[in-house]
Amino acid sequence: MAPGAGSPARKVTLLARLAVALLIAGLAVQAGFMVREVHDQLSTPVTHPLRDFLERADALIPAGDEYVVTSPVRSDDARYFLYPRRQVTSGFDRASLEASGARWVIVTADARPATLHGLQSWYRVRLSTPSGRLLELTG
Amino acid sequence: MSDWLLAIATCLLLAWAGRPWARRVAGSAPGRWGLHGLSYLCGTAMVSLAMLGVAFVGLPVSRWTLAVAFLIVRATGSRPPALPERRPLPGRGGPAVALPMAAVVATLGFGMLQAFRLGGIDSIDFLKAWGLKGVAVLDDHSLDFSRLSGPHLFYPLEVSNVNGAVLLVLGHVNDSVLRLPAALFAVSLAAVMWWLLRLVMPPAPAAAAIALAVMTPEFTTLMTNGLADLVLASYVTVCVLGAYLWLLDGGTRYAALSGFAAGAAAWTKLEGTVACAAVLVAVLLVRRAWRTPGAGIWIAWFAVFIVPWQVFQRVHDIPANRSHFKTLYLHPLWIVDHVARTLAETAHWGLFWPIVLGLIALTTPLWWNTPARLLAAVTLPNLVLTLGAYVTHYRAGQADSVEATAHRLYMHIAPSLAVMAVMGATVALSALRERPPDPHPEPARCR
Repeated sequence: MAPGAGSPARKVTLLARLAVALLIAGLAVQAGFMVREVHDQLSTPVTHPLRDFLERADALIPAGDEYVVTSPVRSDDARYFLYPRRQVTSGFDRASLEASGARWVIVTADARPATLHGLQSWYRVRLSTPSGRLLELTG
Repeated sequence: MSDWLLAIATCLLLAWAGRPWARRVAGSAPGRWGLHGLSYLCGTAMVSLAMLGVAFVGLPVSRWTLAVAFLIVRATGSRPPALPERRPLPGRGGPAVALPMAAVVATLGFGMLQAFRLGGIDSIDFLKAWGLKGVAVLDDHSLDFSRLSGPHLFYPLEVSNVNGAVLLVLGHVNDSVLRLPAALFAVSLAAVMWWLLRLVMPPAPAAAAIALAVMTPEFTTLMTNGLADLVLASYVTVCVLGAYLWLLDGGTRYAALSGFAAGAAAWTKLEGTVACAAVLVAVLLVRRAWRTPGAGIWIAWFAVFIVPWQVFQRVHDIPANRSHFKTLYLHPLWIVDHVARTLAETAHWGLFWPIVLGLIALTTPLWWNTPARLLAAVTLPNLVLTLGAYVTHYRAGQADSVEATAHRLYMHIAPSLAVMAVMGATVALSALRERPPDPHPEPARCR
């Protein structure tokens, strides 16, 4: 070991050099992450499928009507796009839906109850997209 | 196109209304860019607060009363005192400044580009809180949110009122343009950071600190996704840097800046109240006096933003916080493991956290006996508080929604920690330049 290798001055020098190197390297690394982020973001197409569906539903549902959403995850989306219409909670069988007072049911792709599959006599499909279906109760 | 023009006009009006207030709270002349940035931060906070004032006196929050709110904010802040100049620290320009500043401009430019190209905002907290309450302002012209339900009604109103203001000017809902006022908080933060950091650092470290703060994927995401975390970060950072200057200065000059930003942070998000209160406690502890000069000004600004909303909630029976902070989950090992994994994951932050925490730890022996210790006193307690706060949410094995949101919940402390890290490196660089002669030179050096 060289004489004075462990002296406080040498330790300070070592620490300081390490810190400055870490900062410079860190900035370079972060710049690299940003380049990757920019590339990823700009090469990913911007799509809003659920938004498009709910905006079309907004145009179809009359003001003041109430509605039910089958997906608890997507109920916030519906509340935002359909405001100030009131969202009500209900089961998804015919009796529960008719008792809820709601006239409209929003069935999103992530939550399709068996009772709302396909076509039934007690509702009409007013809108159908890959993101969801808008049903109007007719019973 | 006209929606974009109206949104741009609203943002300019917010900065116009806030300009006298920026001069009033700045403490020293902020320079051109610092003044622009601070004007926007002041304008958004004060106009959104004035909207609450409109609702408080029972008037509808409409386009006309919004115009009155703009005028009142502008008028009440006018005739600010002449600000004393405070010279920035000397230092050379060159590539050490130009390179990080170019990176800052590129990053913020990318964020702004995203604001214009991404379209409508679909992030969940925007849809259920920040955006929805803005839509409710447009539709109902009130702030009691009587037609809304859910656990978010107690959230402070800065962000949703700014959204509501833009929508009122538009006259209809177009949330694509709401990305613009959100993104401008990031630009304002960078401008204000440059002004404040130049008072305590040479230009190269100041530029490096801003670059480190903004160059993360999470930062650019939060510039445009309609959430409140970057807005909160803007105010918390100004509060922290203002408090640091307040301590360094020894008088009361920067207490108003720190206190204003603290109040605005609390008016933005619940975490702001706790984070900025911790900053005040740190100042009082450092000065070892409850009645330290400037504390009254600081607390008065804090109260200006907190008290009206608390009173309004009670007057209008807005339900208080029912779901957050109800239970403590004390699983320290699991929490430490989970937080460590979150900080080390690179998709959101790159290597920001290892770099920043590593720099701070590595340079501690160097800055411990320097004025940088004052900056540590106002930044590091919030690191512990923020990471520790998750005992209120984390359950071992079931992190629930916090799992998805933890990354953005660290945002409000990130810029000030970046500053602390660069301050450590700056002290290290000074130590290299001014180190005493080595008493045991190596033989090779003697030749």
